[in-house]
Amino acid sequence: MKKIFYLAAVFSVFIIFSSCNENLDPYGTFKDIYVLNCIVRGDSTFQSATLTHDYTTTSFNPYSNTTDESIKGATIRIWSGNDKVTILRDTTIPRPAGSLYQSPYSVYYSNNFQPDPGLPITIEAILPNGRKLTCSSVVPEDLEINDHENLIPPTGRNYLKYSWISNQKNPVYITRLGIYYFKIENGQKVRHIAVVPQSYTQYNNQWIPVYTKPFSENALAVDMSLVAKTMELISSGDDNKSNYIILGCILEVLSLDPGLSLYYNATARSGDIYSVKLDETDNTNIQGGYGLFGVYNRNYSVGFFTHDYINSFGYIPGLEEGK
Amino acid sequence: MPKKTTFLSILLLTLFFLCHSGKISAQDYGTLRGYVTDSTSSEALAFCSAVIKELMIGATTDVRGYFMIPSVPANKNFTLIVSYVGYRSKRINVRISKDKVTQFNIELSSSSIEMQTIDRIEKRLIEKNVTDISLQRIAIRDLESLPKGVETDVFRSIKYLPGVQSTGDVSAQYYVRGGASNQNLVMIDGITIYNPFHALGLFSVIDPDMINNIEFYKGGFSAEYGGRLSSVMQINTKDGNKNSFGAKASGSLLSGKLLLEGPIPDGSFIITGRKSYSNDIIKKFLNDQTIPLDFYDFSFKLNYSNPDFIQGSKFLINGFSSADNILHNDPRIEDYKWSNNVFGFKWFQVGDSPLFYDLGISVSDFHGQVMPKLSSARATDNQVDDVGLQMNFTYMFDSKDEIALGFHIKQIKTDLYLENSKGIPVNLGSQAANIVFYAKYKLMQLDFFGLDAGVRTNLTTLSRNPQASLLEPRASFTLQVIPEIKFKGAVGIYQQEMITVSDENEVINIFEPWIISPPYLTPSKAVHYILGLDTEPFNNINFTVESYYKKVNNLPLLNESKILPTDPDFVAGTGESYGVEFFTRISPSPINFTASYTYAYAYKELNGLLYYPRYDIRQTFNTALEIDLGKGWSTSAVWTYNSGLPFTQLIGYYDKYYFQDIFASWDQLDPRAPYTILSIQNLGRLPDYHRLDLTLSKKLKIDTYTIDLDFSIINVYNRKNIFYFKRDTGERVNMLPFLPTATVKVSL
Repeated sequence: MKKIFYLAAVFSVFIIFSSCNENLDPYGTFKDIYVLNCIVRGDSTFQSATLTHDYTTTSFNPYSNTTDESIKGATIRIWSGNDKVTILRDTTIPRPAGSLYQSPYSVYYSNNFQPDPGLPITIEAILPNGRKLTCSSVVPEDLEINDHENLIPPTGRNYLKYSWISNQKNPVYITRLGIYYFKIENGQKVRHIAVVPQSYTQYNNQWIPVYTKPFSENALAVDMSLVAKTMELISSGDDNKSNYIILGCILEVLSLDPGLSLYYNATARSGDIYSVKLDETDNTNIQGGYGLFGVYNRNYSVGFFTHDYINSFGYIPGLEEGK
Repeated sequence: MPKKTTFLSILLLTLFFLCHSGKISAQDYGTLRGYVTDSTSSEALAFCSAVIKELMIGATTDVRGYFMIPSVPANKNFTLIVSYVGYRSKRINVRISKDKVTQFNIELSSSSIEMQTIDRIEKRLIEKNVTDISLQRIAIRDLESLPKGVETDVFRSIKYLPGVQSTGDVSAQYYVRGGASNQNLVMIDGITIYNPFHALGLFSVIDPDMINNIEFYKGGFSAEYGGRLSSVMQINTKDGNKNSFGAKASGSLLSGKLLLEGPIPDGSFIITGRKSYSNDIIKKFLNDQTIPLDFYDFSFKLNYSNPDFIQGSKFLINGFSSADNILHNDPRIEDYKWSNNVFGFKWFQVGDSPLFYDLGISVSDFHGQVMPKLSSARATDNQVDDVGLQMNFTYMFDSKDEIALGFHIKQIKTDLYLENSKGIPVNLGSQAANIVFYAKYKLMQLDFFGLDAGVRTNLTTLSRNPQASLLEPRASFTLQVIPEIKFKGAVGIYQQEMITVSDENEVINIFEPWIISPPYLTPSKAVHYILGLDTEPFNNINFTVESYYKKVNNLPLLNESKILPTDPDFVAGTGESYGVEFFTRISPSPINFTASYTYAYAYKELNGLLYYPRYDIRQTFNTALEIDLGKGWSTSAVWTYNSGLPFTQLIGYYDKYYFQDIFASWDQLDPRAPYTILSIQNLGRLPDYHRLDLTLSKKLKIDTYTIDLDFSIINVYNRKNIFYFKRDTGERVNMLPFLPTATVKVSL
């Protein structure tokens, strides 16, 4: 028995001394990777793109990096169909609040390019070192909103009804129904948008909106109770209802190209909160690098509230009725 | 059908007829059949040794407590010695009738010396030609003697076996000889359990108090088992006390349990239930993350055996149910639910001839849901309905050879609703029937050589893929060179048609959704080659070596390159693993010392890229020391060492574009956030893992109560074993820290 205890003692000493915390460097060999992001708007002549480089950090926390790795001096071209082409210019703008970096936001832009629906579109970025990043897609077809609400609330129905026609194959849409209004702040009219969600749910005495997800159907119905709840929430906690001037209601329908819809789903949706996945698949469609090139078309329909409806909330109508 | 498979099948059938024709005359002989039970509870005792002293022949009880010794000279008196670890050996006089099966019911009394061992010479006599390579028979007392962690757990305990790998303390999931976790079949009384894990895979759903014994095949399993590529775990539950009513209550830091058992007319019942009541201990496993987890499991079993109804029959009805819920009050956080429900009926029959047969009907369903509510999680809903009918026949010839035949019919329906890459719900489910006929012949008549050869024939397949294998031939052998040394081997083909939509890169997952292999994929098929040596140079010292090679074709892997909705969800890869395992047991009473070492490689290959799977552990060393200190005290220590697990190194970060609001103007916000760029998959290695666990146990008897107290310390020297790096923040997450735990069990 003594021998066993001696052996156990020696063994214990060995393992205690071998129990130190081993350090690990999780980094492999760094590789130069260039990242091009560009989302072309089909309803605009203004287009922009960003071009950056990958980086490492001395700590393992990527948020500790404070240097913007934007690349300047590249040539970025976009062409659509056979005859439309633009070269995006390199510039900087003040960085939006909450950005990771303090330096100005480096972007490439063009203000005279609008792609044609249904035609192929390609982006090409030639870097100062000669590397080339490219991607091609097809501009989504225009759609026609053929059934919409001119006057809200509609008569005989307690929901808003919209539908549209499109030649797009395998379409994916994202919609937003927004109530546009002014709020008088310090004597000035400040424009706001209150988005009507798909539904509301109450938690901890707060109304939490549930927004629409991408979908493929060519129609949308919105219950008037959601519009009413959104109207109520516009002035939640503010007794001075006359500070609010209601303008109208706009439905925006974005039709996404395949690359953008896949990317949107991959990044806007998440896995569950408890699963721990180590090797996440990245979603990128840029040849020669990483990033995203996508195109969407925006169509919209304007509706007007009746003055009675606006007044019922204590608000001020901002437009003539029916216009 | 491959020519090689056809040839093997013909060879096996030929062998069967040759062996059958060679049976010996039974003129002056009879067959001894024994049924061994615990004297207190009448619970069947599996894996007991039974030897006829004068003839030096014997057998081991099967999982039902039965053994058969054929060709015993009739009308003569012999001494039968029946022994089992932890029980007093029993000697009884037996006299066998000519040309008949003479049955003896033998009751063994529990010994006060817990670790009493049986005579190895007896065991050597019995097991001289038993074909049991890669088979581990585990009695529940083997599990209870190991450090418990939070509670005794079947899956956590088998990780100490050579060839069984784990990716850490946190998950109870296990990997056998380079196979993925979904290649392991877990059955409770012969019925498949699809998701045998509680609490994100931290614990098994099997309450150890309901277990009688476990048979665990690490590979080379014979023809009656199918449907998985790597391993089979057959959990046989207790029948319940046939003599008196009893109750057990126990509590740990995780859950409370209650067990009731007792006699019913011509039978017995057992009911167990377990319910979680604290999540504090789970936080230790999950990096101090608080989870509103709630789980329970419940099982029952009724058995009925009335000789006036049908002589030699036994009827069993059993059920099992487990459920886990993670429900958040906050509607912005998703909810999870998953559950297993199992119900079975079995009729087991022994007759006047040396024939056993059973008929079983089973229902097993699994339902798992991810309910996103207002979160951005992807909705998932998986339902598996498995209805089965089984018939098994085993006949033992006078020559000791055995033939076993069976039909297994399974009707499986799966539904898996999830969102495709465009966010649109799709159902990947299907339904089909798998009708299997198997036949095997055990050649046991030669003292120095045993052979188990059989074939599993798929009359219909689940996947309906024309490339699915119809035949799965298998064989294993044992060759005794000298009494102290045996060579063993096995070879076989195994097919799997139920697959999981799981991501092998997830170190923790909620549950693994199951589906039938889609028709566009050829079902995965594995070939096992196993060779081993078993030696007992001295009494109480056992040493085994096993080497294996496993090749898997058409391994279904999640299509990480899926971009378009029309792209397949799975692509076929290949897998390969090989290794050598050493195991020794030194057990002079009151000490039991075991040590095992495994040196292994595992690979996967997809689209020409060869990589190590996450569970590829090059070296594993486990050692356990158990000491019976007497007077109800016992202690054990287990030290585990693994060389580093593979991981994918980071090569940098880039600022990825995220859609915080696609309607926002481009200059209103900076929608970019860091995203990790990874190197080649699993090319790096984490630091080595090691951990020491200690347990001290005390058994007390106060009046009619028996109290079991266990105190365990996990990770005694607080080794900071790395679990993973959080890629988004760089935070290092370690496995279990120094963790003292205690359990109390009160039995009436």
